[in-house]
Amino acid sequence: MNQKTNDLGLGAGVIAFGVFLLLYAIPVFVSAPSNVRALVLSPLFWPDIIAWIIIILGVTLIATRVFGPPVVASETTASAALSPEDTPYAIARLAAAAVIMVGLVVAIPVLGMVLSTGIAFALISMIVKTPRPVTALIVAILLPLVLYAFFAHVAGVSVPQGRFITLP
Amino acid sequence: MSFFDNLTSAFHLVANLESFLALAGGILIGVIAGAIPGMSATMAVALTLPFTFAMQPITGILLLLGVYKGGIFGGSIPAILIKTPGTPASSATILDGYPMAENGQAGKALGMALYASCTADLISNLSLILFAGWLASFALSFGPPEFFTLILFSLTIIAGVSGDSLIKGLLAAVFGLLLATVGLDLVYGTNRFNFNNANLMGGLNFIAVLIGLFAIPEILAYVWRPKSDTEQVRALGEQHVTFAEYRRCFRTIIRGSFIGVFLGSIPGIGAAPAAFLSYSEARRRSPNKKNFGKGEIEGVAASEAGNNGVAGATLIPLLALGVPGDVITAIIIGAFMVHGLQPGPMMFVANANIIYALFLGLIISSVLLFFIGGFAIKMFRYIADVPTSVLMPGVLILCVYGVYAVNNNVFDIIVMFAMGWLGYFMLRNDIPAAPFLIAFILGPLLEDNFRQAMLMSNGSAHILFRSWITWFFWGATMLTIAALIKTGLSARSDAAEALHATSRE
Amino acid sequence: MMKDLGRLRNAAVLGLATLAAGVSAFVVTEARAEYPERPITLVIAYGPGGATDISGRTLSVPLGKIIPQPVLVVNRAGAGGATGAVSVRDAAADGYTMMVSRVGTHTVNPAMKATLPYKLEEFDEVGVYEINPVACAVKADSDIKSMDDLIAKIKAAPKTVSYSSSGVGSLLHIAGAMAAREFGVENPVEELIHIPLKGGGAAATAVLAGTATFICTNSSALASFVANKQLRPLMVTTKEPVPGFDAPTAADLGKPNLHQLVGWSGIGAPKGLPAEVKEKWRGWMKEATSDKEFLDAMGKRGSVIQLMSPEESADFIQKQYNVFKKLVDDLGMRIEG
Repeated sequence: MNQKTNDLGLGAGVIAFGVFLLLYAIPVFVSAPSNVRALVLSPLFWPDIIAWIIIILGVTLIATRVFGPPVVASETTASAALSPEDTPYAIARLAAAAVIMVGLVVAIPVLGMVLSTGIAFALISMIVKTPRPVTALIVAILLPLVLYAFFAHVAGVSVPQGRFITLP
Repeated sequence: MSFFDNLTSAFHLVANLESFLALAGGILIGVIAGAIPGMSATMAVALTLPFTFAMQPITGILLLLGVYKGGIFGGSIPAILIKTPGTPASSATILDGYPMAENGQAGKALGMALYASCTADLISNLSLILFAGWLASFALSFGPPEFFTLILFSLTIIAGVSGDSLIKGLLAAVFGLLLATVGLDLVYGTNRFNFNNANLMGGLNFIAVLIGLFAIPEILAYVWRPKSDTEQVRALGEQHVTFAEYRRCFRTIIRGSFIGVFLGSIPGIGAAPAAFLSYSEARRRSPNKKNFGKGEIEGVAASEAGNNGVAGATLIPLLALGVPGDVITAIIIGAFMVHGLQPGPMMFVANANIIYALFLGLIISSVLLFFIGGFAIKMFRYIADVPTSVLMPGVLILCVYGVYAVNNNVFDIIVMFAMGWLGYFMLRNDIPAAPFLIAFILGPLLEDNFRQAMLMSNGSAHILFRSWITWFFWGATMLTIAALIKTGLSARSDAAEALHATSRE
Repeated sequence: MMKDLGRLRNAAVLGLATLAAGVSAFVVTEARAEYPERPITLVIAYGPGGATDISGRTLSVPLGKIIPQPVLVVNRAGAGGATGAVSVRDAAADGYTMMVSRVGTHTVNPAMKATLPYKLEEFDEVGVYEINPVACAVKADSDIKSMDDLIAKIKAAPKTVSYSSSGVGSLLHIAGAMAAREFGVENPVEELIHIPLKGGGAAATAVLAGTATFICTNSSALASFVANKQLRPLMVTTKEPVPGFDAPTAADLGKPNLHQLVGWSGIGAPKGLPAEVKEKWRGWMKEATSDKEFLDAMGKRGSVIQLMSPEESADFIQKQYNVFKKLVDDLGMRIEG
């Protein structure tokens, strides 16, 4: 997929989102009282303006890509391109990272901050096939403990303890 | 008492070991707290406050000021080394600091951050001493209409940090505006996009958004494509800032410092917009314009000068009017009051020796910051030597701890991760993150001040043109937009010519 | 075979039951151990540096000395205190999650906001410990010299006089309207302009900068401006005069209803706090609020330390809530949607 089609898709998505905001999200999720003094003071005024700007920018993006000079992807985006055989693995790794993040949020109240972040560290090291497994394991154990000691005892934060282990 | 009596008495108040230790200790605490993502300078000052109750007034206040100044500088360390701003004020430092670190110039970037910070700090302190009275009365002439026009003008910075595509920068900005509307309506208190969730009613936590937007995408990019460690040349490098480089950036630093002083003396703006404004001004005027965002040392100098310029200047409304410019100075006012001192015009009469002692202490703090900051850079430099395979997961859990600590709320971690995926999507589509952040900061200010102005005038737009300040910023905004359109058009014709040239070949 | 399985199952059930009994016995003995046996979290529903934060943290210093377990002070700010209050309501009522209750979270918000995700009845109170008198003030160079001048001005030109607040549904929001109404402005919502700002500091600055005409807020927030002769106090709502405020009291002006209009801080907890925990706190609060350093630090900030028992506190809060609720209903100030 080249940069132009990519941007055209992006523009179309942006316009669709703006229309969705204007027709559905703003009327439903932004409530305005009946006794508003002036139109400019209504809670709807500002979100409506934003939705319109979103639509206009979407149209402009498509217009510049169709009529404007050709665009090239920046170095960062270009360097993210992988060979066809590597791409499925990379997608799988990203999906795994998403699962780890969700799991981390769920695990913090149950396992406590120290245990769950330690496990998250180890799992991420696994999915990227870390070249230094021993170092990673040691850091996975020590770093959460050091951070716990700092935040709980120096900064006075009540770090979630979890149901199984209670650290001093 | 005459001026010299006050000065001698002030000298006696400051020239003792306790004051020096308080200042140095405060700066050290601040630098460390600032360097930890999620631990903002505000938190560090709030945590230090109870310890100052038992101290002499001047010692306690100097300790807090040290924490404040140290915190603002400390934030630049993780911004440069791990692309995670330690405090919101250092988010502009990422733009060039992190690319420099990736090019193996972390030492240079940190050094320039320190020199720019100290220079700006000194200028800011001197401005406080010399112009406090004048700037304070000027600051009071800022009501909602003046703020509205000032912020409208500040939004033009977006063009300066949009990178290659202005339209994508604007797109990022407008989504930042949209996300900032989550919460409760300012005027009516009604729900906006919060689905009756108590966590969303307070709006999205700023630090969670900030860290999510910058640090998490970097981790996801690494997960997408794990680089082998051998490729990485990310040592701090033995490179130091040369005097020639400092001199090249000197004008930028001075300009950034004064932008910081100006925005700092007006209550309610804060250091992050000052850093971005200074950065975009530097880019606009620099001969190395093209290199900005790719590791230009002048960019680091500009943003650090901008945010440190604010630090001394926020004391202007505090001392001259008793008005806190931000949360930190509000805490410092609390410290004054605990000691029975009431900042404001009368303090210059009743407790002039304390004021002069503070001034002396502030000047000393700029010097101490230089040495303690240099020491901190040496300590933190080892982060640059950590291999990426260990650093990336480490940054992730550091961010989890830090974001949790801001509000003791797991919900903020969810916000950080969600923003992280959005940030990664933006990274992959060449949508710059900085405009998003600027809009997220300035959007609510723009809207609130607009609506406050409309309340004042019962809905009449005349109030937006009520003073010369509003006219000035309207003019400046128009001029900037006109200049943008002009450069935009010439860039397009350049591009078209280049295209013709290549097609002819 | 089936029989074996059945026996196995019986054995398993028996084993589990024994285990459960053992665990519950353990839990019971645990519960019988004296409260507190682990650190207590004290939630502050406002950000660091605010009046609630400083008050709560100052109190936590003597409390920390008295309570045998550490007291962890935690800021959980957002939505005018609602985020923190909801998190405390949802916590177990075991005495390990407490909060600094405040006029905003416990009376003004519940009285004003229809969509508030919690109710006043969902909290217990172990003791109101601090009262903050409310003062109304104008800019020092204003031609308004008394409350009567202010009211005359409002009546002469409705919709031109404005007051600032720290946000919709804050004490300042209700205070401006209540004061004006007590002095005879029939419908302050229509005749006054309410300008909400972000935070108490910004609200006071707005009067100083001329954005708003007057402000009614905690006297401690105005003390330095009054001492510096930048703002002129018109009235304080207490019975006794407030030191440093050269202004008549509500009692002097013959408006005793305004005595209900004060700020306060206390220690609150989720509903259903065990009686023994409440008793513990009654003693701790008594000891903590007589600590000399605490009294000194709070006194200098202009607050009046006045400890109420859990029963008095509940009564006091309910009374203030009723007054605010009636005012809000009469004036149609309730925030819907």
